[in-house]
Amino acid sequence: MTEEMLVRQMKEGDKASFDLLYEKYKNMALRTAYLITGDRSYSEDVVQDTFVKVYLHCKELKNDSGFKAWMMQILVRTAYKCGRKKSRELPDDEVVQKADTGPNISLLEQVIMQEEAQAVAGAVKALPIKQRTVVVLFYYQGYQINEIAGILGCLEGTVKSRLYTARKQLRKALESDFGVTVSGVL
Amino acid sequence: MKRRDNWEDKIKDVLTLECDGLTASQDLKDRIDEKILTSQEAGNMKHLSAKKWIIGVVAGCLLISGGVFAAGRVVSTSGHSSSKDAVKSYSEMGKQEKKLGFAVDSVERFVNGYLFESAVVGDKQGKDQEGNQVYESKFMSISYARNAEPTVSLFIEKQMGDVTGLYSGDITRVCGDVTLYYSSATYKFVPADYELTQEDKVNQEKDNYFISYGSDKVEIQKNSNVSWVKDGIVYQLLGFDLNLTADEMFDMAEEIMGTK
Repeated sequence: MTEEMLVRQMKEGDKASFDLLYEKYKNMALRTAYLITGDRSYSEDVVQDTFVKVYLHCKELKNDSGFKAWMMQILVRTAYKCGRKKSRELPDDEVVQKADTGPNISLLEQVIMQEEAQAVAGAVKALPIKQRTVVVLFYYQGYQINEIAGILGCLEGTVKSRLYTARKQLRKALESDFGVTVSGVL
Repeated sequence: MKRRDNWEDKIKDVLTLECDGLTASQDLKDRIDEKILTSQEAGNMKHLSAKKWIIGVVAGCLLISGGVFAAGRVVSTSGHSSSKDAVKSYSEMGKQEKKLGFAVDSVERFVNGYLFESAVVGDKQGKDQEGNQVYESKFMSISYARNAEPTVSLFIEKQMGDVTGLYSGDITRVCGDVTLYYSSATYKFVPADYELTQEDKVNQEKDNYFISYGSDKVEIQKNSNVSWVKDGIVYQLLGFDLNLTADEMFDMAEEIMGTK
C-alpha cells in the first residue's frame, strides 16, 4: 500500500493506517527531534505531541503526497517549543560514547577523530535553535533549501541566511575551539 | 593541524553518529495512543458544554468504588445527552423518569426563587485503558434558573456499588440518615489543543484550579456542589460561579429531599 493511500485512509479515521505511518517515520522523527532539542526525554515528548497532532489534525492535510513534509513541519514547531525550555548542553559522555570508529584506525587517529566529532557536535549544539534546525534539516535530513523553507514556513532567503550564519558560526567554533582549519564555500 | 576540505560532510557524519541507535520505544507509542484516545474523548464532548463535562466527571468520581471501578479498570468516563430530548415543563417529569428507569426526588420551584427550566436524560460510559467500554448507565440532568443568574443543575443517577465513606466535602450537614456534602473547586476551561502555561502548572500544583479540556474558549469558573445518596440514587446539585452559600445550597438539597 502506498503512503498516499495510508494517509487517505488515516484521514477517514483508520487508526491502523496511522500506526503504519508511525512505524515508518518514528525513528527518523525521534532522531530529528533529538538533534534539534539535544535532549532524549524532550525528543520523546516532541515525537509524542507530533504524532498526536498528526492523527487528530490529519484532515487538515490537503495534499496526501505531502505527508512527510507536513509531519516535519509539525515536528519542528513542536521541537521549537520544547527547545525553548531547555539547556542546549549535552553531557560530553554521550558524544564520546557515540564517536566510535572503524577497526582499521590507529588509537591516536581514533582519539583525534573522537575529539573532532565532539567539537563538531558541540558547535552544532551551541547554535541558536533556528540555525540548528536548518543545519539538521539540510545536513542530516538532506532537504533542499526550498523544502526547508516549506517546512519552516519561511522564505528561501531566510533559510539561506540561517544556513550561512550557521556555517560561519560552525567554522569559527571549529577553528577556535579545536584548531581545525576548515574550508569551503560559505 | 589537520586540514579537512570536507568539513560539511563531517557535520552530516557527526549528526548521524549523534543519534545513531536512537529508536522509539513501545512505551512512547502507548503514550501516543493514550493521548489520542483522551483527546478524542475531549473532542467528542464539544457538543456538550465544558460545564456539562465537569458534571459528568464529578459524577464519575462518585462512582469509583463499585464493580469495575474497584478493579481500577475505568480510566475515563464520558456522557452525552441531546437538548432536543429535553422537556421544558415540570409536568413532563414523569416522562423523563420513565426514560431513566426510576423515580427521583425533585422540585419545580425553590424557596429562593430558582425555577425548573428543563430536564434531560442522557447516557454515560466508562472506558478502560484500551478504550473499551466497560460501564454504561443513564443519568438525568435538571436545570433551574433564576433571573439572569448562573444555572443550577441537579444531576441524578443510580448508585454503583457501595459508595459509603467515599464522599468528602469541605462542609457537611446531616438530615436524618442522609449526609449532605458541600465542596467547591475552581476550573480553568480550555480548548482541547490548549498547552499549559507555566502559570497553569504552578496553579495546578497549588490546587488553585483544575484544567478542564474541551471548551471553545478559555475561562476560569468556580464550581460549587452539594451531593448526597438517598435510596440508592446519587444526587448532585451544582453550578458555576453561583451566588449561593453552602448553607443556601444545603437548604435547596433539603427541599429536594422533602425534609424542609
